[in-house]
Amino acid sequence: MKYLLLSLITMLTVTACDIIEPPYKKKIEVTPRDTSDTLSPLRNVLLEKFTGSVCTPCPPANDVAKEIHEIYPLVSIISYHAGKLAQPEPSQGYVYDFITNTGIELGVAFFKAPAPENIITPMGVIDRIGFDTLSKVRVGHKIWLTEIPKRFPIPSPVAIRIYPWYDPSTRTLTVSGQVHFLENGFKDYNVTLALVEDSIIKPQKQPDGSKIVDYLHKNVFRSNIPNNAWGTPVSTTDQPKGSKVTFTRNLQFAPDSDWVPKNLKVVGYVYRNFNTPTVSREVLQSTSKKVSIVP
Amino acid sequence: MPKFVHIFFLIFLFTLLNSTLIFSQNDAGRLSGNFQLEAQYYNPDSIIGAPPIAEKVLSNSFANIIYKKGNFTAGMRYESYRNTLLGYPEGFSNQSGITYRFAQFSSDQFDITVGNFFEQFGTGMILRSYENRPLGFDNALEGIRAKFRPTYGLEMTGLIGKNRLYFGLGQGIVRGFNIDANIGDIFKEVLPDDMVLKFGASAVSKYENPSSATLNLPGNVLATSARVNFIYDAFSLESEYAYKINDPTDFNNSTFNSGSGMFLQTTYVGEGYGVTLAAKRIDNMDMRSQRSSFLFETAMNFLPALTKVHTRRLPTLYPYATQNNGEFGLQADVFFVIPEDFPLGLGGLNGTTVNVNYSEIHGLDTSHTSEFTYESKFGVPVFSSEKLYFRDFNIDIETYLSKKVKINFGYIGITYDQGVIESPGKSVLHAYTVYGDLSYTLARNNTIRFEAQHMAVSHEDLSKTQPINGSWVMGLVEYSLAPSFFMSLWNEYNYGNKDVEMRQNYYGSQFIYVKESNRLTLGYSRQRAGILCVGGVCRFVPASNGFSLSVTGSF
Repeated sequence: MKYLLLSLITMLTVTACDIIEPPYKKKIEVTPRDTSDTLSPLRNVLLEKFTGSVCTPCPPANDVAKEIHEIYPLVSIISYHAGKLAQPEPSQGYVYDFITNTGIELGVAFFKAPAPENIITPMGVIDRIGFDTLSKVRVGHKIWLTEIPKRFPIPSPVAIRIYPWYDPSTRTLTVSGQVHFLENGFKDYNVTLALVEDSIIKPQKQPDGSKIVDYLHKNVFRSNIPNNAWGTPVSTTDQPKGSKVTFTRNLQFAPDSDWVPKNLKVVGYVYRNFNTPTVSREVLQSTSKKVSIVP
Repeated sequence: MPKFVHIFFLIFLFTLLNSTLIFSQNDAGRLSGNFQLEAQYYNPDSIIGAPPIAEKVLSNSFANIIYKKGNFTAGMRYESYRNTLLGYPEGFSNQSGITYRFAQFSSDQFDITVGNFFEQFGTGMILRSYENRPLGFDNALEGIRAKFRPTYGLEMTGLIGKNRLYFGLGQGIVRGFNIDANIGDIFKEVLPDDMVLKFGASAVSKYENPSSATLNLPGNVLATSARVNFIYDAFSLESEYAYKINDPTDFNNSTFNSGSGMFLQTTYVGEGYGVTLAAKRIDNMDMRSQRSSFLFETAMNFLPALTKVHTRRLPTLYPYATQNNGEFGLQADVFFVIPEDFPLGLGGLNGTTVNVNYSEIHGLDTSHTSEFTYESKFGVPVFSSEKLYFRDFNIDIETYLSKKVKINFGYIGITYDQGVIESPGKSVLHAYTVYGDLSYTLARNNTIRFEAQHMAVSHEDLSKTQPINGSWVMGLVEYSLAPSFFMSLWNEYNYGNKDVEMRQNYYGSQFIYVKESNRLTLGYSRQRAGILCVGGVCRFVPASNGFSLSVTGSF
């Protein structure tokens, strides 16, 4: 018996070896998804990533996010600047402050960080899966491209449509929309509308420690609409399959706001806000739409 | 861990306790264990960056219970983190449960363990599972391990398991085989009495689902190693070579290069002196049983730092962390005793012990050959500043001036590439420390000790470094009434910080009471942020301010 066991382990060990020869990179073939029907249960995925201007490992993570957007344009991306490496360092030329209270609140909750400084960057959360299980809620950028496609085949019980527009005369952003229940739904569904900005040119520290002064920051989180980290309930009652709930939300831009309306878009998502029987914040469906500007 | 496993072990433990009580008269076996509680009350201290802690009090605690009867041993460890102490890996936070349990049968020839176990093959370059509680490190394997000793001096080990990941397990499966042969024990009369010759070989393979959207990953990753240890009289030689096939991960920047490791150490110990010379080269030897791990999670192996571990407080600000992706290191360590009859009284009362140590670690000279591969030259220009990660020259002298007075003083000069060891973008710094302490025996078992340290720090490129801590000075007074009472007070002053507001005092005190195998420690400290390293494995320790309590005991 003892000889058998040792021999078996030896054999398993020395024969288990997969040497990989070039090409090392896989050719990614994306099956086109039919998105013509916005009430389709086809799931769009939400990637919430945490980053910082003086975070040296963050540019490679931003590159992965860019690659995801190119391969899967329907994946919504929100980039929160939070954590120690998001804090401005004026002495080194990183003056601009991207940090938002919502980014901090979400980062602390996702990563169970004892303090805002302990929010890890770069790090991602995919559809907020495993919110109550610390080892699952955070996902390193090297496997975003592996994990995101796993969500696509799971039908979504809701669909969401949003229509954002900005009125420069009143400096007000308005978003109207609907949540369609493709299955019986619960009152504990929340809807969140996140305002993100593309094409912000500000310095970013690079992996080798150098600084790119005209770095292109994409999907930068600016504010929720309204400014509440966890959104608002879709409905005060459970909803039957086939029902629809409409909503309208506004956000008044601050007088000193430097947000550029033509670069803004809104990411809308519906998530489970369950605390019983288990804690869940799983995102059920998401969408993003560029902000229209009232002429 | 499934609930039924907990219930099973609780029933098992209850049965053991009962059987011990009932059959204690009939040699029912021996129950032993130990426990530890570490708790701290945290005050926010915004100046030094100590954050407010919502719970105010955080604690880590554990207890081991081991039952042994004859050849059979079983045990378990309960751990609780409510919530985990600041700086510990967050994966432990707010969790408790039985994290280690095992049953083992061991005889002269055969040893089998099921459940959790720690194991090391050779120096640990391809497999080492161990725990280090101050670091929060524990990569215990859970599975099955068998050892077989067909003859005295020959041992074979086989194992299959998964590494611990906080309160769960890593994704990868680890399989390993090791053989150690002591030639002198196997073949009697072949070697002289004062000669030892040992050979060893190991193979470790991990399996992890190779799913990746972008890369063709290996599912099975094999690593092998071979070693020779030779001792003759006062001379010893220890050597090991390890090889690993390609295993692209987050940590090695997804390289498809194979990995290798070499370790060579030779020692000679003569009358009143000893010399140790060591060298090692590591290239792409980070091994984890789960690719998506962070920090030191699911580490499969251990690559020791070839540098001296300093115990003086100020130099511990800049400890060396092994660079698993590639480094070349050298170390020389010499100790000698100046005899008591040496001229000028240099030999002190009973002889003066002098320890001189030098080490330097360089990065490898590499160049990319493709997006996923690189070439690395074997050698590096030693004794130069080219790709110098770390250099340490230190000397420590200790002697008794009289029966009551002992002095210990020395110098530690460190060159430290903060950009490599801590985070990219920072510059190289130089830290020069001088220290001295004096112990005075007031009466039998009654000693007072004074210690002073000064560390002068300079940065090569100030524009790259934030914060610039600069130079430090430190003082300590320690009083001990052996064997039960110890008390100490200290203060570190960061007088050289470039930010005037950060020229802070970091003070603390500690009271220790020891009674048999139990120990109680009460303390208060204002603790600077820093890096804690044990054997080249490191974690960040955030600043804190507060009272601490530590209780340890065994039964």
